[in-house]
Amino acid sequence: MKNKKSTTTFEVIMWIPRILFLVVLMFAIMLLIRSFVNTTIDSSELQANVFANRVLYSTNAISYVDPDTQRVYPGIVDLDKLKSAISDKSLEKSISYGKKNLEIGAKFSVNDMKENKIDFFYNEDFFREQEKIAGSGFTEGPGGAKLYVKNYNIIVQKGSVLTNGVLTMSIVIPNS
Amino acid sequence: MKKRAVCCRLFSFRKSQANEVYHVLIQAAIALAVYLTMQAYIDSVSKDTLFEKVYLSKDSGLLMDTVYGSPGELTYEYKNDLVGLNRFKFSFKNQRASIDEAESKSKLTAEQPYGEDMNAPYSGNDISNSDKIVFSKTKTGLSTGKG
Repeated sequence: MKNKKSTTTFEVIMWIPRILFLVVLMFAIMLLIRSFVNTTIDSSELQANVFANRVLYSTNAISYVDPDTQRVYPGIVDLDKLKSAISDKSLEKSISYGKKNLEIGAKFSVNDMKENKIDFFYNEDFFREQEKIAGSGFTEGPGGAKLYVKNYNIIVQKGSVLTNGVLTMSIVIPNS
Repeated sequence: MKKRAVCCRLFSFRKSQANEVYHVLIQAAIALAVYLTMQAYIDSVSKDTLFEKVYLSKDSGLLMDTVYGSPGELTYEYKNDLVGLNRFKFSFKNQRASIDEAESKSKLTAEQPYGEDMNAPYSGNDISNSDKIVFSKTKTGLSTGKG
């Protein structure tokens, strides 16, 4: 009788590792299923392209706007407008991501082929911070950032004088 | 008389036999519980709309950026045949396109930031139960509404 009782107790105790193993197995299957479900979409390059196009095409950015017709000339950068955009930070106002912008930063270089180069920033502190992260090769995963550099052939307007030039945009977008 | 004895013996186990039967029953109950748990989990994964919400938030947020970037006045009708738009609620507040389920408010809301032009600020209400969204940009502002 004592022998039978001990056998039953042993069997009940043996259930504990079996149930623990079962729980571990269930979590493993759940993780396996979850690993095949993708919910992240990397749209950072598209975001950079949209931002660049917005700077070029928007009425309230850096492109020349005809005062009579209000037509925007996307390939013509108005130097007077650019200088006022730099001084009063109007670009931050026309593309506003809220009080603290942790979404995007950019550096613009306008070179008019006569060695006149104007550099200006959009969200400067954030750009400098994220540029270092992207430059160090930390481009994947949370905490990383991606840098996109785009060159556009433009016409630089200084008063009534038009000259050829190149606009270089460096845009950084954090991963999360 | 003989038949009755067989019938009674069928349910009259000895204690050791009863223990074995209980063990089998416990194993069956555990197997059923595991099956039901896994089935419920797989159902929740298949019904999950997080991917659709992330996709729609990115699509509508980038569309807001594009509409703001247009060099003039613009009216754009946004439709999407891949995802039923009427299942979701769209909100454009504080420079964020937020998507949630229209029927039941879930814990996870997908958000995508967009750059608002403060010279033409956004004005509009939340949009739900609609198959299309109309974006209208004028010189003074941008608004959204049901089609």
